[in-house]
Amino acid sequence: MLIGNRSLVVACVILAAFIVLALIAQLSGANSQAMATGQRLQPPSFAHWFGSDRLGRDIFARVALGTSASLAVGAAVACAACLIGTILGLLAGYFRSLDKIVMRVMDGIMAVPAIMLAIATISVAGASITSVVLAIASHEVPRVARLIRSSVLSMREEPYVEAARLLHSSSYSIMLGHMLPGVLGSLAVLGTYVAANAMLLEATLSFLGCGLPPDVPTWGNIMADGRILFRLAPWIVLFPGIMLAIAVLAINLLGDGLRDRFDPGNERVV
Amino acid sequence: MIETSAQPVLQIDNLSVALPTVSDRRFAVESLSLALQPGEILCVVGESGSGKSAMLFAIMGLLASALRTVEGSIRFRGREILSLSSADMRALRGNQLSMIFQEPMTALNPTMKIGRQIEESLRIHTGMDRKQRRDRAMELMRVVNIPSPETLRERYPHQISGGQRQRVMIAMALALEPAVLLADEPTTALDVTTQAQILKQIKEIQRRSNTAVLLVTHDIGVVAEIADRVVVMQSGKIVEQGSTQAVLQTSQHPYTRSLLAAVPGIRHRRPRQPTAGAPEILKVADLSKSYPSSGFWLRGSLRAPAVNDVNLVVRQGETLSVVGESGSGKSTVARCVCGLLNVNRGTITIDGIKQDRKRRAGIQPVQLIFQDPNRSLDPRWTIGKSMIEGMCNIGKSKADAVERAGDLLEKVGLQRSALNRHPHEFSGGQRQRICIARAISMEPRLLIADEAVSALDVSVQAQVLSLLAELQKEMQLGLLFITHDLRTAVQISDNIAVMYRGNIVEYGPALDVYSNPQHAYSRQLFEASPGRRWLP
Amino acid sequence: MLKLIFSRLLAALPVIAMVAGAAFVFLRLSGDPVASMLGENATAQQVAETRHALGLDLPIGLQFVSWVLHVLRGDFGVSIVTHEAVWKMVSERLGATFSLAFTTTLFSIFVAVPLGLYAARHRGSWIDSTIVSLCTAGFSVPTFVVGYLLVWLFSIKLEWIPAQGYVEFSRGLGSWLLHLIAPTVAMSTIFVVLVARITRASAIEVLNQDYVRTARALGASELRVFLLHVLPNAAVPIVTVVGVGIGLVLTGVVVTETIFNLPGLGRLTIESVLARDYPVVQCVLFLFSFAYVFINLLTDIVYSLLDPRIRY
Repeated sequence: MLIGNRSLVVACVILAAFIVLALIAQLSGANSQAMATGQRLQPPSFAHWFGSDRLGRDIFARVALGTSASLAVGAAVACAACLIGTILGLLAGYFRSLDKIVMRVMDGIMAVPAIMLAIATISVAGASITSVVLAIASHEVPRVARLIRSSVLSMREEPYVEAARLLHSSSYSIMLGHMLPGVLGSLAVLGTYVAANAMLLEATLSFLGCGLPPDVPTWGNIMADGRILFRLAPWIVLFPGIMLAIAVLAINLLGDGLRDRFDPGNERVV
Repeated sequence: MIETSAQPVLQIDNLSVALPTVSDRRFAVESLSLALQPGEILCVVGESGSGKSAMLFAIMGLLASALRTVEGSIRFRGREILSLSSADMRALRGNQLSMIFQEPMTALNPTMKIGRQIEESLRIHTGMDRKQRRDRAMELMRVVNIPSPETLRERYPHQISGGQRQRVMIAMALALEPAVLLADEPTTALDVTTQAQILKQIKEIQRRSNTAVLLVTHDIGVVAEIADRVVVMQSGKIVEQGSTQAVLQTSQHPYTRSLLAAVPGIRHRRPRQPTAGAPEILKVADLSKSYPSSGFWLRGSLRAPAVNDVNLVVRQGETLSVVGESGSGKSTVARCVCGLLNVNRGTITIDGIKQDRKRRAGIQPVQLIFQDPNRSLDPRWTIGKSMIEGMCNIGKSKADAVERAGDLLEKVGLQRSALNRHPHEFSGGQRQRICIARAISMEPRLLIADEAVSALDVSVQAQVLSLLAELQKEMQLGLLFITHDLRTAVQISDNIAVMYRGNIVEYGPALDVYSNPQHAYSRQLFEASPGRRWLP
Repeated sequence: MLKLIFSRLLAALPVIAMVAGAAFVFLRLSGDPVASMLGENATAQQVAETRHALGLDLPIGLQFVSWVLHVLRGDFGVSIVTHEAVWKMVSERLGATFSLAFTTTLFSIFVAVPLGLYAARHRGSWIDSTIVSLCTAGFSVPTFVVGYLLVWLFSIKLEWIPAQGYVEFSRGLGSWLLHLIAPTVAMSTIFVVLVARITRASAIEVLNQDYVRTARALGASELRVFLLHVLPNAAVPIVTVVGVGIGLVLTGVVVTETIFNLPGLGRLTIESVLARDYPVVQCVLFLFSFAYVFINLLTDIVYSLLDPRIRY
């Protein structure tokens, strides 16, 4: 069944390749800081597959090392946002009294553009991986919460939930036993989209100089480095950018594939 | 009126429509042949899955892409229509060959005004100008008896009632005086009294414009009420056809006979021992409930029903049917009794214990069987898990609960192995039995059936009803049976309460209420039951 | 209708207040601007004096109240860094940001909606698959990469359009547009994709509805079905996504202004946050949340116009 779905297969293959690349880069101990001043700003060639930057560092090595940071951020944000968002969504959907408050707060968070929220959080908490993850996740939580909440609201009206109440089941056992399994499908799909978005946002933050510290190689940081020299050495920005696009594309395809599996398009049969 | 000598206006020969390969049978419709004479009403009757709707869609050329006609011919006025181009077919639809559907609410465009929708076929097929279209639309509305056409023309579908919506659909279909009207269960989604009016309307159309009607239904009462001829379908094939009289009264075919036998009614009623002196299981006194107005958004659309000063009693081993149409408040009463809703006023006493106003559902020994068997069981849980949920909550150990669950499943006519399977592996009737078993597992004293058999086929209905009767006798349960179906109510109850707009307008022993209804509304309700005269 | 507007505005006040309050507290937690302003050699006394002069030594509650009172009079204070009136700084940059958001939204809608409808119409065919794949791809590329690609291709290599800068509307429509083309296309990538996807999904769902079947049963052609029955009913989710998408646009604005050197609010925000310029950041956040509320209100009004079930 998994084989039949093209998007899923393609996505998994690409992601597997990225993970392998990241592992090799970490394990081989390639030095991202190895500077060779004689090799500055070299265009892509056999010696430097992706070219070199203004300090003579090999772009390919940096990009390979950056893979783990970017993927890690994406995964971490997805997990955090999904966990918090699900809890909030379940509570807001099931308990009318909590609904209003929780949704107001979610509205408030959504009122602030993602970038600003992230920058604000990072400027408070300092620039580390945890704060970046927190910053980006805080923007994604309302999206997850809203989805879970609307699923819960529609499930509340289902006869089997009412039957459960008549069978003396407590609210919590209904939420955990009946509703949670029902949202896991869409949660998985949403999780992938959140991860993709998180990676893009992290790159954007680094690009603007507000993300992880510059010595940590992330794709965004590498691109930020190459910003000023764009006319001279476009490869410094373009290669990490392309890698990022492919990785995010793979994750989006994963999400699409999962979605098609859980909810194949409605075909009318008389 | 019926010209049997003339050429049939619609002739189907050997039609077969294939189903996608994953289905449980190969054809939706198999080698079907029938003829529709000009000006006659032909009813096609069958249970769900008989292929009757597929046949209608094949005629209109509206089959979903997953289904395809593999062979056969359909001739409309002598002309073969299966091989027509889509442009030619479009020219016929809405023009000479029209169709009306089952669910009037979803069949009308929610963002378009009624008047505009009625004019739609006029816009598509004729070159009438604005005034001509308007006049014709008004005329049509009068023909189908839509009240205050001037006002209703400017309204939207959600602002008018179900019966009015179906009339609008009929007006749309008849705009260009088609030779044939196809009707797919046109009255199934309507209340009994509305149903009677729509059926009368269809008969009038036949009389006025000599339109031939091919009407598909699962309700034999409808057939008895308006059909000139009848076709009986089973699993995609025609098993019998003939005049209504012949089929309904003197049919020899086993399937037809079983269908007729399964129709509930007073003739099936078994003598019931009056339960004198039996203790009261349920006593409802002065029950009132109203829903708070929902604020800005739902203003103007149909308001939620209220319940007003309702009094009833159910004794041990007794069945009380609460009968009413949609909006009568009967479901609200059921929900208040079992605790899913809080009441505003009044008392509910169960087994001698007065219930608190704001009590949690499920403390009392009451259980409820829901209407939709497809949604009463969590689709992701195994049957076993669903069955033991309640028992574990009241303190039974898991092992004991599983054991008892197996026993109960066997009691309702299923196998123990069902415990490990999922709801989608069972039919509607089987799922309803599982729900009954689940309800019984809680050892209730009162069982409420909220339209519990309304969504089932007639033959399955009969089985479930007999199961309920058996269990009631064995466990001495009180049964509160909520329904809109008078036939069933009369067949199974000791007492009947008729509800109208939140009030009980009639209350008494079933036979008395049936043979001699006192209140005007009850009389109207009983009169409206389709096919009452032919099939008691 | 008026009642709707009024109740929405009322409901929005707590949101704006919350955002403003949160921003206020957040900023003060993130660090002290005075120290960085005066440099390392400042004595403790100088720091204390400057803080007092700026009113930063008062309790937070009082600072907030005083800020609110000033805002109600239209006074957003003075920038800690540049000493200019905050409102002046902000209003100067409103033009660029607003123009960019406007062109992006318009362009995106006009491209995305027909694309989505077309894909829905030809569902399952190669046209549909291509459009869906393009959408997925478009969603994966970060705005600034697109921006850079555009700059590299059209400004550096081909020299068709200017790489940077902004020309005001009042100075000529032509050059205003020319300078905005590249940034608009860069920002639109994500927006177009979002709107196209939801248009397609919404149209597909509507196509499965019973009333579309009714329309066909009356003999309507496919084109008629789409224009009269599908589009009006599919519009509500599209409007929702456009409303939400504007939030995305506001995010993208920050990056795009940086790449294309547009003197807009986005760049101002980054610089101010990094410099801990409280009054400016507060004003900008206030504006953003107000814009969000306003857009939500607009979408609600459009809903009620589109769907009579909401109106009546």
